[in-house]
Amino acid sequence: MPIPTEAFASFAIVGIIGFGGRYILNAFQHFENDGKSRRWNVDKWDRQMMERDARMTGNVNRQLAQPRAPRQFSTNSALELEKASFL
Amino acid sequence: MAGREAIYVDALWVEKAPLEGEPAVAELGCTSAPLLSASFHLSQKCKAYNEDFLLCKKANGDPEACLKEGRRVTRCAADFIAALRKNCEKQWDAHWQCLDAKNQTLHKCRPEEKAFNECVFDKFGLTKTLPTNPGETPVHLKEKPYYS
Repeated sequence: MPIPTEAFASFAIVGIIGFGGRYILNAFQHFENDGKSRRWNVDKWDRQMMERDARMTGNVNRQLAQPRAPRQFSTNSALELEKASFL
Repeated sequence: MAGREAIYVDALWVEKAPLEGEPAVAELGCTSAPLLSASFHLSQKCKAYNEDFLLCKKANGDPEACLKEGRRVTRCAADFIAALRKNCEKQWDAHWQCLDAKNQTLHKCRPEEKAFNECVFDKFGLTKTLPTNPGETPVHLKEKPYYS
């Protein structure tokens, strides 16, 4: 029985775009993140810890396990300021 | 001082002047995954200092009032981390690197955690204790956990 190429071609195109796109996105996120998968299901606590990590190591998911922080860490925390009022 | 974080961020304020008074202590150089890995033992080791700090925070609204207690907490934690580095470096690294790779979910790193807990118990005599109902096995000690 011959394969209905013309009917399956559309599925092949959709599949290639879907899986290929996911593959490329995943590869880019790993590249961005030192070969580790991206953080997911991140809540407020995780976000503030990631911000702290970034201040210590330069990237939100790069880790450091030392007794003493690098010197810049003691002065690189910043308070976010807003304007006094919005009209 | 506003009771919330900034939403419409206009500028950043970085305090340049060093703090006067108490002698400065180097900050603890641990990021989230190593801290999460060591937290259960750290809370046991530095319990007195931590509770002292929290009691001080509860009693004083002024953030300047608890600097001394806070620095004691930092010093105790740094000492413990240095001791961990000396004694259980391999197991600790294995555990926090697993946590880092698995989105910091504890239940995906139980074998590494078991080795780490055993090492810490041997070297420091500290155990990880979780608050559970009486007669219930804590989740990290279950042989075949079905959920988590």
